[in-house]
Amino acid sequence: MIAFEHVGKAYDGRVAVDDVSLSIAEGEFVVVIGPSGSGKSTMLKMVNRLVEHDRGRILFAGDEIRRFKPEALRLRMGYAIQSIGLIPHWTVEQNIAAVPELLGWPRSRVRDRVTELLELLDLAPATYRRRYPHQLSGGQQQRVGVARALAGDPAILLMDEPFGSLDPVTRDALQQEIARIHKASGKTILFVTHDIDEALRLATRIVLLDQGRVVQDGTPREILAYPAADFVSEFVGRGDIGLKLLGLDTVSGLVRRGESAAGDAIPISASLREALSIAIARGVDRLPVADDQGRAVGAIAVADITKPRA
Amino acid sequence: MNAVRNRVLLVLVILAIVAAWGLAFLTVAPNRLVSGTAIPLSQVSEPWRAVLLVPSLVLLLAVFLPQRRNTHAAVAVAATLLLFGLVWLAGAHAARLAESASPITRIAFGGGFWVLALLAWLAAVDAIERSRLGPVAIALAHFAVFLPIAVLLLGGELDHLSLLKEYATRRDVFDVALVRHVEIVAAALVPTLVAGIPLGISLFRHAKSQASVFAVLNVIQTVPSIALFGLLIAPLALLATAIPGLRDLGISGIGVAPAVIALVLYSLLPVVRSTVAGLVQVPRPVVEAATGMGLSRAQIFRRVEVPIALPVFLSGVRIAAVQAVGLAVVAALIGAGGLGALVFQGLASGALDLVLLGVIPTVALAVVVDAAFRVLASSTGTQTG
Repeated sequence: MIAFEHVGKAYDGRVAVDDVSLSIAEGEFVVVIGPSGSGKSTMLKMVNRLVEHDRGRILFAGDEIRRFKPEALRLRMGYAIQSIGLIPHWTVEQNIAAVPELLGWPRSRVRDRVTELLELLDLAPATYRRRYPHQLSGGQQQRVGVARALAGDPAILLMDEPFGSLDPVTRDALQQEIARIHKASGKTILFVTHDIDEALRLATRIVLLDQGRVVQDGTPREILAYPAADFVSEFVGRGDIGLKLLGLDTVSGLVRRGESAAGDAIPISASLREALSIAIARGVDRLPVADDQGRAVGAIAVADITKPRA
Repeated sequence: MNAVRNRVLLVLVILAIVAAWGLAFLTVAPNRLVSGTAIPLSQVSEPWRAVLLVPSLVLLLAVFLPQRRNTHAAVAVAATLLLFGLVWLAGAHAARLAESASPITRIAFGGGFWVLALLAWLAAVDAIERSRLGPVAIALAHFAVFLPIAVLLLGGELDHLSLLKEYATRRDVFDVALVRHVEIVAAALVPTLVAGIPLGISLFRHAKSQASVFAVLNVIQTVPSIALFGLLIAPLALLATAIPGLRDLGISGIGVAPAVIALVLYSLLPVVRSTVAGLVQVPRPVVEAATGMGLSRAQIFRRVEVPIALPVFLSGVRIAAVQAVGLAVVAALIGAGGLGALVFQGLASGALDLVLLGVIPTVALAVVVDAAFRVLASSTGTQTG
């Protein structure tokens, strides 16, 4: 879908992105992460030509991006940013409809698309369609921002720290939302963040950037289990790498079916990290496990969670 | 002190009582050139002074009432009635005095009248602003305050007052002056906008040249208007003699041409500055998001930047227009005509009524222009915020 080939970018002689090569396949959820000034945002903006790269090539669906008119290229890519950037004097509907209208969709299809996206992002269309951005909460504005990025049914979604300014509860809800949308639509997503937990939670693949160079490129598990450099283990948080690894798996793999334990059941979709945390908090070594409908499934033992695995 | 709910109104009422007893309500002079003798409010048409009493009592009462919407409405209506009553009483008393006086006797508003009228107007303005109405409703309410006076004026009730006598003898001159005044202002604003808007946009795009251009415009702004008018006389006179056709177009060292040029120079600063300020305050993330969505530069300018910049821009044009209405008075000194011509004639001959005949319409014109632009600006800016 997107390929970087030895791409470089410097601002007034200061290198922001240095010889990056990266290939993103269709359907991947790639999170680019790094400290501030690592060039991650520049990398994203080069894809839709908000920033022009000065060395190497960037391909979109096999073609050099400079072959496209910038506006035409951007219409095929959804774009969401941290400060949301909703147009303040446009209604929610006008904001979402802008790209489909520029693409020349017929009016009825645009209308249906707006309704569909508002529903997808849990905003009642009848209530929110005619609202202005300043009448929405921060979380609702960001939902509209995501809906707008999705509006033109883009081939790829570019998201630049989209949830950076939200409170933890709202951010959590929107992370769930975007993970669900990725699963349901199979859209390719290129996502920039500096939050390692967000990256581990969302990514199918993490690209760790430092001073404009790719330090490591791998699945969340690979990044945690086999950090390629000291910088990586430091960045992901040396002290709780183990816990973060546990956060990648759910209880379902280790549940002892048919067995039972005392206390309130935890859902089978909970992560091993949550299970361990609950067990420690309750001071027990076994927890009952229930399925999504609340029916008892079995139990999970702390010993199984902490037992070394390959 | 807790009983007082509206201190502004209390101050206005106290000042009004002082003015009513302490200052002349009308003055009577045997002709237009000598100063007259004072008639205090207490000597004005005894039975009819009650028309002032009722609204005055309402205002006094409102000082101690809870400040609700109804109270503000009552204050606005009472103040409007008081203003009407003052003008009507002055007109009626002047008519009664005129019956037994010679035709050249001048009956003029006294200091007490002006102070009372101003206080009544301020009370109305204050109540209207407190009422939390929409911007259009507020503008209409401001006009409504003067509506009863306009009725008196058109109905001939005030014809025996010296100001109206002055108007009656100079009606033709006045009408020409008023039209000329509006023409000068309009003739200055059109080129200002035509030049100022593109200049503002290009300064916004090339921020480096802002400092030098604004320095020049600021210097122009600090030149006193009289001096600027004077400075333009010599070059324009030379130009008119050098190029024969120009004189036929009405361009010469004195008259309308230098006046319009000077007003354009003065108006450029607020227009250019507000164009730049309006565009600068468009949030960068909004522009970046719009760019990232795939809008072209022209689409972003037209659909995103201009609407967001419009309220600030219009407030700059409002300042330029109000300023031009005032400065155009001075333009009369270099022969441009307009309401200033009446003012300077009056000053030269010591006829206060003639001065007022020039000043009052100028102020009214400025107020109307100001209100019109305020309504325009707020109606374009209601959806942001």
